[in-house]
Amino acid sequence: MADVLSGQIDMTFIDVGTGMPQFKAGKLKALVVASDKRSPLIPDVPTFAEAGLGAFALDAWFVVVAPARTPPDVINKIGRHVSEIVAEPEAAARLRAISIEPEPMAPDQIRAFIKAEKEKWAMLVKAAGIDPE
Amino acid sequence: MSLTRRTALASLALASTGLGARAQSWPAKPLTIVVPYTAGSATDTLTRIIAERLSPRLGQPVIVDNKAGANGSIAGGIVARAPADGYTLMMATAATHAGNPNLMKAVPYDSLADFAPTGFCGSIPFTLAVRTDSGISTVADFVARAKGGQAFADLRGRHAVGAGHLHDARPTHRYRTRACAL
Repeated sequence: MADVLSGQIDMTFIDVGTGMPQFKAGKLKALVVASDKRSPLIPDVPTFAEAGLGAFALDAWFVVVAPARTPPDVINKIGRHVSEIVAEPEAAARLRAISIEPEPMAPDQIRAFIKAEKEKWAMLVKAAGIDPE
Repeated sequence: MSLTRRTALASLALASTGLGARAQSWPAKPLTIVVPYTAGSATDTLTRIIAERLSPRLGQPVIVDNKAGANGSIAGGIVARAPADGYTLMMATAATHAGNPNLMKAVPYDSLADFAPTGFCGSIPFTLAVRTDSGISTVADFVARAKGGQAFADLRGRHAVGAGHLHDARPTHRYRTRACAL
């Protein structure tokens, strides 16, 4: 983002949360949102599909994790608290204020989600011909 | 460990907490949530929102510890090697647990094998952005400006892989057209 602000490059791909301060300051402009639906934070910006670029969704996401082999009862307790917290209206409002859309996810689905996301990125990196740095 | 010592420790554990000692005694001290980015980042703010609500629920302080660096990979390495005792947690992100392992050669953790996910918090969509004074107001403008006119398809490939410095586009650069259907 620093490079696009300084004019070193012309376009960057950033999450809405990181970009919002720059969008609000009028320094950066979002052209298109990589999601199935528009972001309520930048409602005037079209999705990839609306812009005629084909369906494309890529999100920044957040999961509280523990080291592997942490006792399952502890994992379950933390998970239940975290899920309840992000569902609290007041906490959810604070998350939305920093561009994060709170989302419930069943605990047993999270690992599969992370695995699928990792595979998606692997495919993108391969398709784009990027050499890992 | 001698049999006597082992027996003594086992007796002590049973005497003090009974069966299911771990579940009942946890948490017995402050927890730490490691944030892979700097204070003030969205990830940091999210973690603090969670931590200040987790603390009264657990009856223990929940400390937010910023360990920024290497696009979050430093924090990942720290937590992967932390004791698996329920006192060290991490706010994992798409970058640390899906992007970095594919975009970086030396990531000091396995994002699946080294971690146990607990709770999902939420998500933020990515966006393509340009400088407001760049004269570019649509993706079509950007493409029109790009030499060779082949950046378009690549926007769905190279520049859609999002993490930090890797999704930069230079209109003067000629890209090969690649299909990248998701």
